[in-house]
Amino acid sequence: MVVMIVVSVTASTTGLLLTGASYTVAASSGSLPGTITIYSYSSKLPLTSIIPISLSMEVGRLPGVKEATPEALAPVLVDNQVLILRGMNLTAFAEIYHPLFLSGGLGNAANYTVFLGATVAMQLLLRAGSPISIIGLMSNHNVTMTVGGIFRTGTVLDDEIVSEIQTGQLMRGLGSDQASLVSATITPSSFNASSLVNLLNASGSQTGKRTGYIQNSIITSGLVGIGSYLAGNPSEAVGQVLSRAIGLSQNVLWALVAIVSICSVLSIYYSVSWMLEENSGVIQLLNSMGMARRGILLRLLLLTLMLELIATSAGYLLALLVSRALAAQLGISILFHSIMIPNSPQVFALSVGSVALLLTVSLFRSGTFNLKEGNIAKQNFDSLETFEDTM
Amino acid sequence: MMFKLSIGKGEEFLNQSITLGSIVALIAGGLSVTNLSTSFLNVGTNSNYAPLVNSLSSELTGLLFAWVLPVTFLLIFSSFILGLRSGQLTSRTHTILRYAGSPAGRVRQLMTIRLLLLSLTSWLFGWVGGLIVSQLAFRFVAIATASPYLIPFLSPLDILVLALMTFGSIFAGNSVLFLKTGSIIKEEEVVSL
Repeated sequence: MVVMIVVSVTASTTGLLLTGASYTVAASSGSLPGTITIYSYSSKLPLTSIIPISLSMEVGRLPGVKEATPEALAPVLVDNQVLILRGMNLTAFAEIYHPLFLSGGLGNAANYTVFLGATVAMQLLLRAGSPISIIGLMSNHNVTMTVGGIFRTGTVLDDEIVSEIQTGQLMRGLGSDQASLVSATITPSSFNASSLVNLLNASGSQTGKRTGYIQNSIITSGLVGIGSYLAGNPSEAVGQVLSRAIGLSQNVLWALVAIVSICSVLSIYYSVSWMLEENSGVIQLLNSMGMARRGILLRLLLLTLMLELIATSAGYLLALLVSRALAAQLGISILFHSIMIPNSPQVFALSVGSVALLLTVSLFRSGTFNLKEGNIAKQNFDSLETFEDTM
Repeated sequence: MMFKLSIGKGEEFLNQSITLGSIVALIAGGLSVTNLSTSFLNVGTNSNYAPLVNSLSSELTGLLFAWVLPVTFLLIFSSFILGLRSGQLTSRTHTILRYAGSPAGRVRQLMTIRLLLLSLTSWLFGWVGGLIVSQLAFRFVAIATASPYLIPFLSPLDILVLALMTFGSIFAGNSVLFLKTGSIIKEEEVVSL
């Protein structure tokens, strides 16, 4: 049982870390449910995108779009630590992300003011009113600003610095007519994806080649290339973001989890054969009393599968706790955001399924061998024969 | 003869080496891919992007470290299970040797030789296998996606770390059996007296 827990912990940890890394990459755009993010088709990630800021106004005029705001994302260096600075309209920031201010507030906003996510503030040991020196890594601009407040949103923004869009543009090295992305909040009942398709097709080249009618759900829960833009919700389209960012499909990640289980196959086989050997007396007794070999094996299989379900469930829970603890203690981050380890039913199912399969195969392979008539008696002499051979 | 006695059944020994080697291969594969990412990110020019590149590189290292911890635990535990199984297979040989007049130290010596050979073969199978498989995988991906072929590699330090990890895990995993065997031998000595 302990073997199964250990194998399950290892396979589940692999799966949870990979899933966590994928989700963190996808969520780094900051997209929330009910929002649409529009960024450049040619960029691998929203962070590297450049689009015209005027697109924001055009998107904002579409039916069903409550608000559209441009955002400028810039990697910056603060106290030798790389962080993301998100330049955006601060009113839109309050309306979209509903920040809970732990100190200070948007009322303190003035020129040269930035707002820190709670995680960043804790790492940098800064509080409202503290001066903060920021170096733009892509623009080489160096500015000293004041922390206007510390907020918590429960999103990736807790790992970021939020400022007015002009600061974001300056730090990213963008012109005043450029932004990284446009974030739009929509009303699903009145939003029409086709109007967005027509707008994006009209403003740019036809790289995405998406025309005609398009369902709302394709954009709100996926990522679609339209004209020279990508539109959708990257947080909901993990597979597509991953495929664009690093050229790996999610299936490859699942294959890695399976590989970890497969590498443990002989450990499970040896633990099963050790268990059978230890209990060979009882098994032989049952066999000699008339219980059929198949019956013994099926009962053993049922028992071990029940134990397997308990063990792998415990292993998965342990893996979840260990992964989250390691992520917090080691400060693991992906694209400068703290890794989010989600509770993944797929990882659980894969872990339970792969261990159950390995266990069944091991039990039948090992059990059939051990229960052959006279085989155990033969095994008793194996070591003696080995000894005699060597003499 | 001592060599053959310490190994026992060749097939069992080979299976155990492959089992532990495959887990070492997992760690070796992870290390080689991380090295590849680090070398790919570090272009060698000192620029404004250096902190960005270093930060991305340390993110990958942190992620790998968090993954290697449970895999190392699996390695230790698997070697413990294999130790239990090999104990079942070799205990009779050891008992016969003791009754034939071999000193207890000789039996422990046989076990030590077995563990050393097991560690050595697992380490060799592990890092060579892990490296080859990761290079094959990257070659396959490069052909499939028509992208440049980036070669995963292991540094001598990585190979040394893998050696320490493998030898340490296998000896730690078998330590219980080693101590247990010693106490059985003592009991047998008392009975024979």
